[in-house]
Amino acid sequence: MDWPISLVEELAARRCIVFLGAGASAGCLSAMDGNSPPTWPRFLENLKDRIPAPDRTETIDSLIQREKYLDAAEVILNKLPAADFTRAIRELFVQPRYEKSSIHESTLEIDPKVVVTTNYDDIYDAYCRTGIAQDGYNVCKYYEQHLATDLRSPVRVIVKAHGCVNDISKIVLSRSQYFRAKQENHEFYAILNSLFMTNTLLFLGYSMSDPDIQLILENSNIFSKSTHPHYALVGDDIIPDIEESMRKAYNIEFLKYRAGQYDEANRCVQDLAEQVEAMRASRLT
Amino acid sequence: MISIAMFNNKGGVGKTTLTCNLAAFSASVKRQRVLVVDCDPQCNASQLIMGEEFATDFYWNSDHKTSITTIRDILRPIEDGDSEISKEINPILSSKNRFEVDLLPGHPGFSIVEDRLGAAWHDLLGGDIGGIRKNNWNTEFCANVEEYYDIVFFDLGPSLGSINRSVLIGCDYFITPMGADIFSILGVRNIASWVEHWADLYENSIGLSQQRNPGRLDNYNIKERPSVLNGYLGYTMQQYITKSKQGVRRPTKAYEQIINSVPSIIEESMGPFFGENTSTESAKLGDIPHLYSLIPLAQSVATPILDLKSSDGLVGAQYKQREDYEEIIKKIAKNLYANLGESA
Repeated sequence: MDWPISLVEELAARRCIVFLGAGASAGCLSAMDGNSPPTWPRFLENLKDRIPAPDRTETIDSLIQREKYLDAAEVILNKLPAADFTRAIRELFVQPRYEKSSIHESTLEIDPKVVVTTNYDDIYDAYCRTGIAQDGYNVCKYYEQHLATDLRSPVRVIVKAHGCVNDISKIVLSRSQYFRAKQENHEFYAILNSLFMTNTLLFLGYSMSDPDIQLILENSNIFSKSTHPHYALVGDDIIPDIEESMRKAYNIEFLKYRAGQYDEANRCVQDLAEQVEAMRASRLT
Repeated sequence: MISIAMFNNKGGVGKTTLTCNLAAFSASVKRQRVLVVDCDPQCNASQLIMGEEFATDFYWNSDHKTSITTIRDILRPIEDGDSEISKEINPILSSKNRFEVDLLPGHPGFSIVEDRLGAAWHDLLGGDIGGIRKNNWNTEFCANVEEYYDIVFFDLGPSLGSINRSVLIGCDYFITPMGADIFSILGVRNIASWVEHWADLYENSIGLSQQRNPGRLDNYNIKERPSVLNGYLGYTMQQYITKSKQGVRRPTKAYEQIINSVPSIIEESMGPFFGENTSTESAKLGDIPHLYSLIPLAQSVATPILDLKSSDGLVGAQYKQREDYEEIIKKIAKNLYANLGESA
């Protein structure tokens, strides 16, 4: 796969926002047991199993099976006690103490001004903020007020658009939660939308059925008439009709690695980071 | 005390950056007493260590007298026709800069002494004691600072001239930092034949002088044989910016050939000068990656790369690059001290 030169250029000039999805953390290994954070279906299955038995309906299974993850989440959260949800997040995302992934390393090297992640884990932020580098990166959650300030300062910003494991009560998972979050945090979403309209977006580690990317795409104004598209790195098992409709609806161009070949995906992103570095070096930016 | 000349026939190979950062490493990590002597009339090392503001004040508004002596002041007597150097040595102290090294600053006018030393070389060839003494100014200088320092780094300009020859005569060791281009590698060949040529003449001249005036040279700090003839400590390579595809770095074919031929070129040209702990393998002190924006930042705040902080303006991935540089300089220092016969 070849990265478009215009994408490399936009990253080199820091005019591109990198989006990190669940796939970016899927390559992280736990320092305790060597496991990785769950993917969306596994995460939802896990939550489902924590629902008290009488409420554990087959509807949920069927929704997960049909990849209707947003709806599945809606049903699950209606039935799962908040304390159990908190417990699940801690068990799945915090306690295993995950190490950074290859995509995290490459993203740091690409060194964008803004990284947006819909992941709840804090693996990437913790990796960026190692040692004295904690001065150089600021994390802004959707309910915090300092995004505009961060954007105007020299710090690199890591935007946690769906919340973070360190405040589980504010994690966004279902459609209704997302609407509530948007309602209550106008300013944040206004800034985010303006970023989407004026920057190129690169989605790494997303599958088009992931609930978080659906929330972002459906509810944000990422489409603006421009000859410059946004980009997403996806497995080549994406359904052609979906690809076509996404391309039309959101102006996203899909770059594909062989489905399931995550090493290949990692190498692609490494390769991108090296191209960006080489371009910056040759242009002294 | 050991003295090391940092030298390549090609400029712009990251020599000054390496010299100053290595010196800072010796001072801060090895806890050695370090002196950097800027023998390059371009004064890059002085500018890097002291910063632009100091440099402007020191060199431009130089009418107000300071007690600091530059390399030109040290050689002023020779410039004026004597065979001695000044014994008044007042470097800029380590407490006054972030590199934590003493610095004997360079001087743009230092190039004037090139002619004097050139003429002195001809006198030396005739066995003249004055000529021999002048060409041993650095032997004398090293003897004068011997008790104050553990290690002295000499930053040299890229010429194969009489100044650099005389610096090398006085030094124990030398290193050739190299860039990722054919000219700095070809430069190493030039250095080898140049050193061989003058060292041969030098030894003959010393012999001639001793024959004519037995015992007279014993009154002075004179090298009978330049130590650098067995004092090559190795080289560093600046990495080339590669285009890569699928994670595999792909240097251009021509460059790849050059890279692969470096060890054999080094062995062939520098092999005769290897120190007793240096081998073809150990002569490669390390690779220096492209440091992108870190170098200009370090220059603008006159700071060793390892000491760069948020308040100096580090942003984003520069934090990680600084951390990577720490590993690189550690490795180079480890190899360097191993070639010096010391454990790192």
